[in-house]
Amino acid sequence: MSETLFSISFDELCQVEGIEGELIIEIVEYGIVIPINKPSDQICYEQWLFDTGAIHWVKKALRLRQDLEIDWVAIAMVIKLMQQKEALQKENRLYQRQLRRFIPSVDLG
Amino acid sequence: MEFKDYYKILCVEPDANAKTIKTAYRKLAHKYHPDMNPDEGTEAKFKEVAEAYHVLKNEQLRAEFDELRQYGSQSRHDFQPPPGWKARPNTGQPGGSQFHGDFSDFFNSIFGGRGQSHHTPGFDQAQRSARGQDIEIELPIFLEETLKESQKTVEFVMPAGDYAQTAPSKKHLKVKIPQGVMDGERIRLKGQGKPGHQGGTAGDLYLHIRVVPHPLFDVRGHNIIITIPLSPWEAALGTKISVPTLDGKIHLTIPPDSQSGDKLRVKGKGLKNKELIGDMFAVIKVTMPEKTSEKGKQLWQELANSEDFDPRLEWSM
Repeated sequence: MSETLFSISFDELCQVEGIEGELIIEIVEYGIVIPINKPSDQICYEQWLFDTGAIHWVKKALRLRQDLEIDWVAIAMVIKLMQQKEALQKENRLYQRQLRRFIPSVDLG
Repeated sequence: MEFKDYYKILCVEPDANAKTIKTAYRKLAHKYHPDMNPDEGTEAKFKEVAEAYHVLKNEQLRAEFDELRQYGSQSRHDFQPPPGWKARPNTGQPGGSQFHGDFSDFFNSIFGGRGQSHHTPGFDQAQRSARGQDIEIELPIFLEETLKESQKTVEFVMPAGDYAQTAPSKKHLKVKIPQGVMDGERIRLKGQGKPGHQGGTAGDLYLHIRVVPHPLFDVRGHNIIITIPLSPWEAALGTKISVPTLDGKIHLTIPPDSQSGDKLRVKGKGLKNKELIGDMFAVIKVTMPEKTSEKGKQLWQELANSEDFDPRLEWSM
């Protein structure tokens, strides 16, 4: 039976992506991902924990930086918009399902 | 093997300067980057564009390609490097790595393994090349399965090795799915991804949870929503009905004068995890009978005569 994990430590995130810690700190500073335990500023970065979803966004951010040669500010904006788009799509799917429960014949295009 | 004209791929002239090539790449990269545009086919197109840019931005590779292009343009569909062609050693010209080693056969036949030797600042090259690749798969689960810890056997395809050592293989893995997993969450299975290279650690396997849409319930956060169809008289007079929940049926009291869209909260009948328990919301939907009997018509007529309800009152204001 495999161990299931919902978080990843700072060190592990560096290892997983093969990147230097400074790059992760930069990604956090730009708000691209936020450690789940950051609210207490007394925690040093070595103790940061990220939820596993953060890895998905870190990978995306690194790919965008390398492939599109855009800076962190732009990447942070792109990632935020992508996250908002995902959330809105999810909400839209929920509303469409609820609308169909009320009006089964509704044409949603 | 087909000859790839990198100039055509980037839509630039063969005498284009470095700035024009960069601009053309950026334009196409924004259009085809799989993170920006997840449509089918964009990833393959982006790989082609990135490969073309990787060659044309590098003076040495570009000069070699120009030399071959004279030869290759005559044998477009069945290209073979000229007899005696040997890729020159890499001079290690600086420049970020747009591409992560996934080059076409055409590239590999003319430039050898030089695509994988570029170093990007901030990346620990030794670790990058040794650690196995992470794998992500979608794991559909039923809403009921999220209520308690469950076991699942996941099946996935382990991709072939980077060095053509292994073929893709099917893997089975028993996984414990914790109580309260949510749609969109990712579960990490450490070391269950692709094996590492030359003693490197294995990658991880990520299970991207997809909660299968339920025929009766919708989910919002930890709360679930059920739509309750009522007859007009049940909505008007109120009633007691039996309502399904995720763990059995309950009796629900519908108050008189209920409207379509009214919500009734049933505490503690939503989704659960270790910290919290959500609620169930019953949303009322008043439904007209498809056909009305003669007796029914008479009763509706009596109502129409006795009531002064105007559903379009707002229009006259």
